[in-house]
Amino acid sequence: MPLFTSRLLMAERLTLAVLITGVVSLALSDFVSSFYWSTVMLISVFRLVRGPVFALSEMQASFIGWAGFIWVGIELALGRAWVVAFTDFLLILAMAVAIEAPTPRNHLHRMLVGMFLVLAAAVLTDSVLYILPLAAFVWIFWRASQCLYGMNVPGGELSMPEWRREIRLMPWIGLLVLVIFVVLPRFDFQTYLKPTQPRKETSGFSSQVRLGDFARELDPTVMMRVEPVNMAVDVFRRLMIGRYWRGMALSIYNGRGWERYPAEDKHAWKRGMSAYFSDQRGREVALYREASDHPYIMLPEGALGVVRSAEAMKMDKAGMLRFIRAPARRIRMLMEVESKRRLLPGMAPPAAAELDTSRVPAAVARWANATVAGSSSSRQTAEMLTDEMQGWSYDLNAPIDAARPVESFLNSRRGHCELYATLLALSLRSQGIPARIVNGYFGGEWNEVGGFYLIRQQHAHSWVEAWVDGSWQRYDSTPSSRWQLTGVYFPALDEVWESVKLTWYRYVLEFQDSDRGEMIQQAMVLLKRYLVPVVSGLLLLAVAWFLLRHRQQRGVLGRREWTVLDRWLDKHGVNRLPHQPLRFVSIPEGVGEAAWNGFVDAWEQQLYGRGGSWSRMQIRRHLRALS
Amino acid sequence: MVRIEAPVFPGWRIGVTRPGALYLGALAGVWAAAFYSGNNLLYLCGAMLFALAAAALVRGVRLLRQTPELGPALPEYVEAGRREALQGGVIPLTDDAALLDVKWHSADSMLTGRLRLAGRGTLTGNFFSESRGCVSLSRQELSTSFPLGLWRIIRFRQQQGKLFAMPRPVPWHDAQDELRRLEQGDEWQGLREYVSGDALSRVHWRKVTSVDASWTVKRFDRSQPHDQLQLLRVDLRLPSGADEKRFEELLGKAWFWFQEQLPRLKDGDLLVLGQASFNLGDYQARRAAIEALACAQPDLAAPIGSGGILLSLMGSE
Repeated sequence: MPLFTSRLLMAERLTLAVLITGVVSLALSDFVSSFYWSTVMLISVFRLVRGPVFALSEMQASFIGWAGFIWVGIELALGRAWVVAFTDFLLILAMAVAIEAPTPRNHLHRMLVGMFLVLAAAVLTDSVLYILPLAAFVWIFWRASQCLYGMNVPGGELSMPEWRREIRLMPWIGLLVLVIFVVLPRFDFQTYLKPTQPRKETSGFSSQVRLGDFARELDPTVMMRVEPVNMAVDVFRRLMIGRYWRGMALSIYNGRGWERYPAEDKHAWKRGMSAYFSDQRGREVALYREASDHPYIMLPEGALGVVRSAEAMKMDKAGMLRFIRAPARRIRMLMEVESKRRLLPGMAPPAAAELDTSRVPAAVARWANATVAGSSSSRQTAEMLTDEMQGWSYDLNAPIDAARPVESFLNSRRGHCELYATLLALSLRSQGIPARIVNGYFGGEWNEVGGFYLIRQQHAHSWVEAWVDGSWQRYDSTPSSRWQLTGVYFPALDEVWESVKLTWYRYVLEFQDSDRGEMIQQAMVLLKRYLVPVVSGLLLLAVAWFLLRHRQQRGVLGRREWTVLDRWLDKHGVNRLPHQPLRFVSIPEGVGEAAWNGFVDAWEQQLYGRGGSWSRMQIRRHLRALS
Repeated sequence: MVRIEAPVFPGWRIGVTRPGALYLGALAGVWAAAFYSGNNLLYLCGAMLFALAAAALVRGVRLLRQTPELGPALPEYVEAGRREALQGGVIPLTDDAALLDVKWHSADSMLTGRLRLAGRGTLTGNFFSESRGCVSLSRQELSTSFPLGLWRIIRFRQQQGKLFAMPRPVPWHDAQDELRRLEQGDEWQGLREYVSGDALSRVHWRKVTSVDASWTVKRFDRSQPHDQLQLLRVDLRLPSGADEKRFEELLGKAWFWFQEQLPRLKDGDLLVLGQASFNLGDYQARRAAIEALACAQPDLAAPIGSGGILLSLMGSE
């Protein structure tokens, strides 16, 4: 007797496959240690290829599990993040069950651990790729369960159903998943179990920013996506094109960089509340803000408010809107935006720090005086300085003299936006105009496939806000050649992929109760419109089904038909016992084996109502054909 | 918890297996987490696990609904007072490979069995009837955990099935056989199943199988001409005051004779049971004879006809 039957090997492979789908789904998370998941994958693939020739006993495997538990405890004591330690433990468990001897209990453990890995991944990743292991899990789990169901059955294992037949069930399961997903209400009591993502590291949005640290790389990492809400795509495109996304205002220049002026908080909003900055109402757009290491919310020019904020937030007098804590997940925010591109209303007048000239280099003041000679107003001064600088060269790689950054920039007239903004702000201050720099994003990239804007880290930008004619005005002295540069290598592919991702975020991750309500409402409208044809169709189907069923029942052979057959068998030397199925009687005299087997097949089809109905006359004709 | 079977619809009950209980526990946890957090991926996972369980339930229910009549799989007769192992055939209306547990109740007995479906189905099981008679099976209980082993789905249905509980065969012409054996030596002509009362010296010990411990006994040629018609007349009269066991013994002898003749029955062989006569060469009459033997009651009239072998409890005859 072989050590491992083919069925055992099949169960071994299928349950391992369930485990592997779990590991793959968890590996999508950025929190998971690649060492652990790759080790489990290696062991699993080894077992898949070689079969259970090498296996640990249940006791030995349990030692691995306990050792993992202790090891994770040590990891936690050494300061490893609990999320990472938790996934480490799950993967060590997966390792133990992958290498364990393939007993029925081990198969059950693999299925359970595989399932828990998939569930853990639902919290630890938000990748669109998660759908792949999830779909694979449905199919493999189904097959593995079928395989286990047919094992260890008295009288021999049950045959495994053909996969072509079973796969027909999957679209129905998918449809049911979709219906349940859409129909069930969302309660959203808290956010701890929401899909998390690692916070993207940025610079330029902290209380101290050194010159040269911000907006100096063509980093294609996506920071925000903006899509229309109840608005035609063309209208949205025109509405949002080339907007400045205001993030953090920096008011104090310290000679080497900028610091945030500790402005007093003006407003605070709890989670779920709407924050309006104006009485006006504008068009709604949806902003998907990636998790980042700062709490600042980028507000587009003309922003009028944030609708039902997903997290608590507050705004200070300098117009900086920020979350109380930087969220560890992607946040979808609805914003109202007006078509006019202006700064936030109600920003406080300049503070003393915004007119501080103590750190303005003398060379800058001299250059500014020379540049604005003949200016008659603050506005004209600002415009003259801006125009002058816009003719200079934009260079991301221009060296920065850390000791005298502004002077060296003034000499070389080559640099990146931070230097342009700094020089403009200091020049304005030297002319008695309060000014500060603002770090944020500019423009973005239009995605033709999905019809949305995408704002990457490479769109990070610095500009200046100056107090002109009694209000804050934006001035951007960076040359427009800046926006010809990009760090995206395959724009066409990237466009499609980003579109897929936004669809995932919009219709899966951020599917909300309001969306559910809308969809159900639309379905009801459709149902009302097509009620009569749908009901008629269902009635017709019901009648057809009834007739078909009736016809099948008519096909069942009764005692009288059996009698015809038994008499014929008697004549051909076969005494069939009353309970004996036809398949088990000997071949009648004078009948070929193939013909007899064909007849038996046809008879059985008749007997159980699948082959229409043979009358006694027809039976006699078939029997004559056999003789 | 795994013992709980909830009635969900008239004639249907649903319970869970042990792995099913674990699965449903996990599903409940996922939904609790999903509702609490609003994490749509957990909603997706919960919907997926639920859909798998629902699909398994639907498949199991469909299998039970499609299970054909089990009547053709039943043996026509069993022996009273003995636990009978059943081995029959039935063709399912499905290509699924599945196991169905069957409980088929009559008024005072029950057939328990297992229907194994794998393209073609086979019913195996056992049945016990205390006494001889016509057993009417009616209430059928089918249960399965097909296809994933998560649910235990039970269907109750009324399905008529008829079984004849035959009397225990009583060998009664061993003495004649023994005489022939002495005359002809140890050459035997065939084998038949052992029945209680057979001489141990006639058991073919080398044919005893270890699997089911079934015994076979050697049958010696009775040197009767094959063209000679057989006739057995059974007098169903029971003398007043006689023990009913004797009547059962009488029928047991008739049944023993019937089984002995079965392999070589020919048209014209007759069994007379009281007032009824059966041509055993005819299939329908043979069935009628089996039914008459199973259901026979003491009669007041003498058996019809004459000649042949007469079995009677009436001393004068």
